[in-house]
Amino acid sequence: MKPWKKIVLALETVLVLSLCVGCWNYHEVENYTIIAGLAIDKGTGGHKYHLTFECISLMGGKDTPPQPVLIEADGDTIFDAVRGTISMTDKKLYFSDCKVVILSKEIAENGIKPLMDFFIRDSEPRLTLNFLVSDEPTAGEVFRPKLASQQPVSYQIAGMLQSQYALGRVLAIPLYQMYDILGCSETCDESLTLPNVRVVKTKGSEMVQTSNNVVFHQDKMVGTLPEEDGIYYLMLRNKLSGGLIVTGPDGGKDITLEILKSSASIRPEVSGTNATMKIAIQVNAALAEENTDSLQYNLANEKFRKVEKMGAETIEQNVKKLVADDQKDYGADIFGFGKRIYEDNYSDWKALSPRWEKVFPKVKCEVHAEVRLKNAARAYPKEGT
Amino acid sequence: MSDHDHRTEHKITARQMEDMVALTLISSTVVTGSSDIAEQDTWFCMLVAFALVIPMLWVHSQILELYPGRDYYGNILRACGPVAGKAVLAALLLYSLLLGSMYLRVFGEFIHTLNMPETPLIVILCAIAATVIYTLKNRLYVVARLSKFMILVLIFSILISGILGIGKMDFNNLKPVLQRGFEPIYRGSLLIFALPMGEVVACGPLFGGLDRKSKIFPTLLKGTVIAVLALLFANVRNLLILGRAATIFTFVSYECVSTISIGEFLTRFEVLIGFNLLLGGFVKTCVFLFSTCEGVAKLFGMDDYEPLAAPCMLLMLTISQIVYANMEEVFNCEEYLPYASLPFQVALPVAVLIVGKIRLAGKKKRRKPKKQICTVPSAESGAAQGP
Amino acid sequence: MTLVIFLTFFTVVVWVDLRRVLQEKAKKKYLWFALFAYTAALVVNIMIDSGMDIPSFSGAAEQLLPKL
Repeated sequence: MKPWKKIVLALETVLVLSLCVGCWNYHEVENYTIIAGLAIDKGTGGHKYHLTFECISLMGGKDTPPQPVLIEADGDTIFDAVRGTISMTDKKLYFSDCKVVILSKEIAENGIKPLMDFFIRDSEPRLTLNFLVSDEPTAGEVFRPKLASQQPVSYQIAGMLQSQYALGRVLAIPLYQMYDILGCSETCDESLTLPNVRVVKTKGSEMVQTSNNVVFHQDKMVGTLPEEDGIYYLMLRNKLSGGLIVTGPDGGKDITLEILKSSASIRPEVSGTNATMKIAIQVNAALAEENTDSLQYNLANEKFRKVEKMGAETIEQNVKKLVADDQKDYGADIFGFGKRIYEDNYSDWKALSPRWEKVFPKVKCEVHAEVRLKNAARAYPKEGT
Repeated sequence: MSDHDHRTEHKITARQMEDMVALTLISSTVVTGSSDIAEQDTWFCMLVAFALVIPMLWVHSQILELYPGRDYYGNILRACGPVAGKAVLAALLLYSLLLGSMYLRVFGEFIHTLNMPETPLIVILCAIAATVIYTLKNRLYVVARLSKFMILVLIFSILISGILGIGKMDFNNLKPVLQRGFEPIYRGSLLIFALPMGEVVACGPLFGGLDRKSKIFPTLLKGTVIAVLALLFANVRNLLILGRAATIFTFVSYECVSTISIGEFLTRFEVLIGFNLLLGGFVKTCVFLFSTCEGVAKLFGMDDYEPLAAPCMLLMLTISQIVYANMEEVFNCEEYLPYASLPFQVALPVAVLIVGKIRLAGKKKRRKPKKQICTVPSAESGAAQGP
Repeated sequence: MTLVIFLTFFTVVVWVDLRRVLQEKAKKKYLWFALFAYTAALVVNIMIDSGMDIPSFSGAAEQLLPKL
């Protein structure tokens, strides 16, 4: 090959390879402040928002875990506040590892759609970001506890939300699904729920806890579902893969069933301006614990079938109560009933949709639940023992 | 850079050609997503657009078979005559040049917007341009061989992202099915026909390098089928995972795949989509550049397209900077693109074929040999003449 | 800055390509077209990088063409 050809090829290789390292965007990790989470409160000093960033400090040795550091800034928009932090820190904020966004109640009550724009539009924050609502007076307080595990509070919360499959109490909705629900509100009037988060102080230590689902009427916060209703809410939304049902004879709470699998189907029936939702819930469970005086339930015994019936009745009662309470207190379609009609009965939905806000509180629910017990764990003592 | 006559260059096999055609149609759309006028019924619009493009594939294959040699632009010149032929040629090559510029801009913007916002766009475009020029200077068969490899990567990444995302899919996002009326389906189908199906017109000149044993229409059809299947799969995956959110993103597939992860270790699969766009986009740019260079060569009576690769690419690079002012215009172009593209994608090829067939039929009629009138002496006259 | 980058790229491409074009037998036609393309690319890029407001093709098409 002629020498000049080699030079040209070499120049071209350098040009192309230089783009592989990010070209102008090349940066070392130490030049960025990694954000683990951020909290949004009402602004001070005439600004609209006050942001608290939980950052990871990479100072310290190999054996020292990354320490969380808090930075606060005010701004009229989210991006304005983000850039405002440069006046306090020498490094730009890096959102690619941001896991959670905590909102204060005041911000949530004013509507959250405007807040979502920055996180959807900017290419750094990921679409799997989780939004939560703080139970504390401000959202920034959630980042203040020093956790025993020494990890940032945001990562702890993100881990807890991921583990919800085993507890089945709160429904974590990532950012892109939030947009799906709220963007869909023009077509099917669905309302959002988000997990809440609070600081729990015990002797000598502080922890964060997520235990309830916060109800929004479309994008404005209106209330909170009771903690014990969380599992039935997830069941209705078909997002439950674990958790416990506590049931017992005569409405008691003596028997714990561990959910192995749950599926729910909602079939709408529309007649004129009324709608009925036929809800069928099927749960596979295991008999996990029995607190009655006599251990009298075993697989071979027909009373095992009674436990299934008790579990089904508990589910039916609680699901009906959940829906009725939501219809009465909030009138927010957090279950996606409107979406079901939109998907399955489009022509009926076109007639109902202008009046859905008035129709939803009167929607009837017929719930049929079926529980199948797969096993009783290690023990199934016989009657009389 | 070879010195021998370009007509004796390596022949492209049918399989390579199918992959080139498929990559030309897939590349940008698999990342940016098809038009979402019909929202959840876009998959149906794709099937309708595919049905509409099949007659056009037949038209292009017929133009290629009008005269021996499978020279698309050469056949246009022969069919339409020197003046009209050159006018049609000029229109088609300008269309290829414009399309190439549009897609080059989109590829540059993808890298610039999502990965390297601080790198000037011109740097990214120059890097792509340099590679395309170099590849095309080594002749088309290099692009064909690259396509065979790149399509495997593309299809693998589309499949793997779909399989890994199954847990996040909500099949109710497909509903309500075909309930929104005729108008969204009609508009969506027309748009998908214009972008990207109808762009197969730029693939016509590629067939000059096809192995003589291979047939044109089946090759074109197979390439288009591969493209439609890949686009369908990507579109349905995006819809099932993102739902309504799929309509707001600039690069839908990228955002969709970014939500997929396996535990904490295997995340950020969206880099696969970056590969798709670059590999597919590279082949697409090569094809449009080749189409432009062939057009210029035929228009000005030049022998070979290869020396024109650099000048045409510089023109393409320049036009790519002025074809759109910003990303909003990229998506607003959906509103007028069908009407802008139909003359080049449908009207001109159909007109060329009709004129070509008429002239061919006229030539065959003129060449028919005159009937010779032979007089055979009858039995009586022979007998009358006697020995 | 962007003008410098483009000019560097332009110079390398033209330098390499002209040598190739001049090798062709019927080089006149290639040369004319190549010179036209190089000039157009250079002029337009200088106009863009100097901040001149060039109307985009897409903007013009949006005004002139019917909408779907």
